[in-house]
Amino acid sequence: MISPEAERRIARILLGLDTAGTGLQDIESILLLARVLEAELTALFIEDDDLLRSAALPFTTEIPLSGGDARALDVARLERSLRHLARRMEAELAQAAERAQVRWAFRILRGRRLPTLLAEAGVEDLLVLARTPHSTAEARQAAQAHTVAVVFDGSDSARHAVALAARLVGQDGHDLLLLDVAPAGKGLDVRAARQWLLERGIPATRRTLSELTAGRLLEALRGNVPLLLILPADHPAITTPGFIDRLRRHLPSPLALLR
Amino acid sequence: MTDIQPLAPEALYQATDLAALDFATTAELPEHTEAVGQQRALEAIRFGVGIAHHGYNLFVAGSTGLGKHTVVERELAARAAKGPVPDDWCYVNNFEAPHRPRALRLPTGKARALSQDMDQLVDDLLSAIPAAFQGDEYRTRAQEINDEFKERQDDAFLSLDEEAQKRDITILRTPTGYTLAPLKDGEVVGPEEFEALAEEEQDKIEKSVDELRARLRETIRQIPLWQKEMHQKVKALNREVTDVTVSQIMRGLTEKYADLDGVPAYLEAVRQDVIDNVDAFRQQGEAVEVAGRKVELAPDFNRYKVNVLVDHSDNGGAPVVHEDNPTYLNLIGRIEHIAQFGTLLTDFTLIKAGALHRASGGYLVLYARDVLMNAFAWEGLKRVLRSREVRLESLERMLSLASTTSLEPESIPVDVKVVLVGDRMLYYLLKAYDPEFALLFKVAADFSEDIDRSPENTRLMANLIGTVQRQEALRPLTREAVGRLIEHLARTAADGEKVSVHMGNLCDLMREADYWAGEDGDSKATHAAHVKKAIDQRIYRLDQIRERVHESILRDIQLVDTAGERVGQVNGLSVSQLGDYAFGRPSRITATARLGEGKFIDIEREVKLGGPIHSKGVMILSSYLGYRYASEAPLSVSASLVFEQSYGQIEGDSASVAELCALLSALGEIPLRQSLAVTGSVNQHGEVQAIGGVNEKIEGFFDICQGRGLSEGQGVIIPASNAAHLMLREDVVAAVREGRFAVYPVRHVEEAMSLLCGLEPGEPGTTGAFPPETFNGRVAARLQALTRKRLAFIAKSRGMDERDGDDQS
Repeated sequence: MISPEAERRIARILLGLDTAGTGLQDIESILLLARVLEAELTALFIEDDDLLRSAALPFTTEIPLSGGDARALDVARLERSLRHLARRMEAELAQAAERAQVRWAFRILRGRRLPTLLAEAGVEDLLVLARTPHSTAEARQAAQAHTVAVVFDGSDSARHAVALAARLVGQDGHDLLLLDVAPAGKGLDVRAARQWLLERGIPATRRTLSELTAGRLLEALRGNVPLLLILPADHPAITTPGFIDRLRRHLPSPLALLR
Repeated sequence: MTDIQPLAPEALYQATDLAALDFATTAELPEHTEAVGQQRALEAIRFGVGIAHHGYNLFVAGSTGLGKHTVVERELAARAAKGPVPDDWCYVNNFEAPHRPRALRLPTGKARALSQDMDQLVDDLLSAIPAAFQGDEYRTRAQEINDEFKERQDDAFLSLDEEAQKRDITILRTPTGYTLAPLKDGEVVGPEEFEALAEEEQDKIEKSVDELRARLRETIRQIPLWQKEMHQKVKALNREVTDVTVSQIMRGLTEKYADLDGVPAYLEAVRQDVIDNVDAFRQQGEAVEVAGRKVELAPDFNRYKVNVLVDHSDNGGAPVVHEDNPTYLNLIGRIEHIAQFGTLLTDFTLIKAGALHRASGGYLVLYARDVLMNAFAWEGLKRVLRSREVRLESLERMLSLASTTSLEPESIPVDVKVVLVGDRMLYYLLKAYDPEFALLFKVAADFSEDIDRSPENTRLMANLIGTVQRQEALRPLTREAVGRLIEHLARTAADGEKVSVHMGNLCDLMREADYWAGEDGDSKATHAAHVKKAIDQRIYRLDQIRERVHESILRDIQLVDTAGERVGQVNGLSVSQLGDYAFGRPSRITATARLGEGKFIDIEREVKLGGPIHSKGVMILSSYLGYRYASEAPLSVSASLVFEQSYGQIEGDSASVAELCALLSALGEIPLRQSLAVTGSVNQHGEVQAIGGVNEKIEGFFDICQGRGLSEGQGVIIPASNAAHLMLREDVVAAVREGRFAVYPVRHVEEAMSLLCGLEPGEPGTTGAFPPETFNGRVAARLQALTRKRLAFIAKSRGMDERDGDDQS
C-alpha cells in the first residue's frame, strides 16, 4: 500500500546544471513544477572533476561542437570557461525564476557529476536533470508530451514517485505511465499502486521491463516521449556508468530522481 | 437750351408684369428642374458626356452660384444610370516580386467575393493544415524519419562509446565541445597517475585517444549532414502533406474562378506559396519580448488577402464621383504605411484607391480651382488623362524626398470622363498658358450669367422659384413676391431687361425672405414685403461703410456741393465694390486752365493713383478739345484735372464726361450747377458711352441729396445707353415721381454741358466761329484769347533774344 505519508512534501527542486551548459532549456516547465509543488528551485552547477582531471593530462585536446580541428585544452582555460558558463546560467535562471515568482538559489559544486548531485539530494528534494534536444523536431515532441512516466521498482522511492506523479497528473490531466521494473514478490506490488491511483481517479498504464537499463527504458518510451521521467534515486542502476548520460542524451525530456 | 427731358418714373424701374404670372402662390406652379437660360451649356455638356473619344473632357465655365454643379450632377446622373457598370479592380500579392503587387480586373462584384473567399481560405488552411500535421499518418511518418536519424546518431555515438570503453577511455562534454580521457577503474586518470604509468602504456593511451578523437571528430562532422538529410526528408513529407491538404481545400475556389482572367494563375501562386510557407500555418503565433513585455507575433497572412480597390457591386450604372478635396493622393490613390516597432511598413493591402480609380468607366467631377490649388494634383490628373492609366507612385519618391523601400504596383487602365467646374477666367487662363489643356479638355460648357426678361422667361423663372421653394421646404411665395424676386434678379444683372440666373443668390434670397415671413408670424406664404425686407436687411448688414462715407459728405468733411453753381467743378460718381455689395459715392472733380502749350495734367496719373483706363479717359479729353476747338491752331492752354479728396486708386473712364464738363467750365469760365451729378464715358467726338454701376451711382447721389433735403433741380446725368439698365430703388423712383429728383439721359457731352450750365452748345457758323453766347462760343473765345497771349508772349521773347544778340556782337 502507498501510505498517506508517501505523499510527502517536496521542499526543494535540485536542478543539475552541467559543464555542457545544459539544464536550463526546460526551465519554464521546471519552474512550473516548482510552483505546483510550492518548492524552492536550487540550481547546482557541477564543475566536473573528471573533466578537470582530464584537462590536466598532457595530450588532452578538445574537439569543438562545430567539428573543427581539435585544440589544446588546459585546466586554466577550462576553469575560466566553467566560471563564465556558471555566471551566464545563474543570470538566466534569475531572470526566469523572478518572472515566474519562484524562490531560487544557485550553487557551484565541484566533484563527479552524478554522485555529487545524488549526495546533495535529501528526502524532501527532487533532483531534476534536463538535456538539450538535438533538433527542433525533438523539442516539439517534448513540448507536445502529455505523459508523466514513473520507473516503479517497488521501493519507498518508487512510492514517493507514484505519489508525486499522481499530484502532477491530477493537476494538469496528463497520462501516467508506470514502467514496472519491480522483481516479482518484492516490495510494493505495481497492481496495488495502480489501484491506489485508480481510487484517486487516475488510470495508469503499465509497461513491464525485464531489467532497468538505459536501453530498455529508451525502447519502452519510443513513440511516447514523456513530459517527465521520474526515477527512484536509490536504484542501483542509476549509478551504473553511462546510465544517466545515455538517457539524457537520447530522451528529450527531463529526468527527475527521488529518494 | 437743348431740351433734354428727364426719364419718366416708369423708365427707372422695370417692374415685373404680374399679368404674366397667373397663379396665387408658387405652390400651384409645375415642377421645373431644367436650368433656365442655359441651353448652350446644356447642349455642350450633353455633347461632351456623350462623345467617347480621347480628350473630350469637359470644362464647365461660369461664375459661382449659377448652378453649374447641380446641372452637371443631374446630367451625369441621367447618363450614368443608363451606362454599363464597370469592372471591379483589386490588388493581390505578387509572390515572385512582393514590391510589385499585381492588379486584377474582375467582373462587377467578383472582387469582393474573391476577397471573402481568400479570407475564408486562410481560415480553412489554419485549421486544416495543423490538423493534417497532427494526424496519425503524418506523426508516424515524421517519427520514422526522426527515429532513423536518431538511430544513426545513436549508433555512431554508441559504437564510439563502446570502442572507447573497450580501450578504457571516456568521452566527456566541455562547455564548447568534447574531450577524451583515459579511465582506470571507472575513474578518469589524473596527471600524476598518468605520469606514473610506463612509457609504453602512456603511448598506448595517447594512440588510442588520437584514434578515437579522429573518429569522434568525424562523427561530429557527420551530424549536420545527417540533420540536413533528415530535414530534407521532413520537408518533403511536409510538402507532400501540405500539397494534398491545400489542393483539396482550394479545389472549389479554383473551379469557381477558372474562367476569370488572371485569377487561376494567382490561385496557383497562392497554392505554391502556402506549400512553401506551411510552417506559418502550423505555428499559431510566436511571443517575443519587447521592452519587458511579451508581444504575440501572429503569423502574417496578409499576403493572401485581396485588396479590393474598386467595388462596383452596389452601383446601378456607371459611377459618378465627386471629389471635393482633389489632392494628388485623393485623385491618384495612395500607398499607406503602418508603424511597427518604429519602422514604417507597407504592403499591397495598404494601397488605397483614388477618385480616378473609382470613377473609371464613368465620370469624375472636380472643381478646377481646387485641383489647381492642390500641389501636383493638376499635373497628376493630366498625366492620367494622357496615359489613360493610373500608376501609383508616392509623392515623396517622385520628389526624391525619401528613398524608403516602397511598392511599385501594376498600373491600372482608366477610362474616365473628367468634368472640371470653374469660373470663366480659369478656363481662359488654362487655355492660354497650358498647352495640354486644349488637348485634354476639348469641350467647354459656358454657363450664361443672365437671360432676357421676356414674359416666357419670367414664367420659367416663376416655375423655377416654385421648384426651389418645394425642394427647400420653404413657404410658398405669392405672385407679388415672385415678381419682386425677379425684379431683384434684374437689378443683380444690372439690367432692367435681363434677369440674373445666379441660382445661389436666388436660393439665398428665398431662404432669407422665408425667414422674415416666419419672423412676421406668417406661416402660410412669403409676400413681396418679406422679399423686400430680405433685400433691405441684406444691404443693412453690409451698409456700414456706405453710411460712413455718406456721413462724411453730409458733415462737409468730404466736400460735395448739391446746390449752387461753380466754375471748373462737377460732381462725379464712382462705385465702391465691397465683396458682394456695391454702393455709389459722389466725388468733387475740379479743373483749372491757364496759358500753356496744350498740356493736360491728370493729377491722379501724376501721383500714380490713376489707373490706365482712367488715364486713357483723360487723354481722350484733350483730343476732344483739339478736335472741337483747335483744329486750325495749337491749343495754348494747360489744364489740370483732379478727383478732390481722393486718396486711393481711381480706375475706369466713367468719370470722363464729368471731367470734360469741368474742363470746359474752367476753360470757358462757365459756372456749372452743383445740384447735378454726372456719370458716363466720352469718346474723342464727345459721344457719351455706357458705364457700369449706373443704379448704385444714381442712388449714391440721391442719398446725399436726400440727406440734405431734396430740392428741385437735383438729379443725375447718365449715358442714354444706360437707361435700359435702370432698376432704381423705390425711394428714388418715388422722388422722381414727385418731381424732386431727375435722371437725365444724354448722348453727347454738349447735352450734359447744356444741362449743367443752362447754355446752348451752339454750332459753328460759316466762319467756323461759335456764337458768342453759347458755351462752345465762350470756350472757343477763351482759347483764342489764350492763343493770342501766347503768340504775343512768343514774339516778345524773340525780340528780347535778338536784342541780347546785338549787344553781344
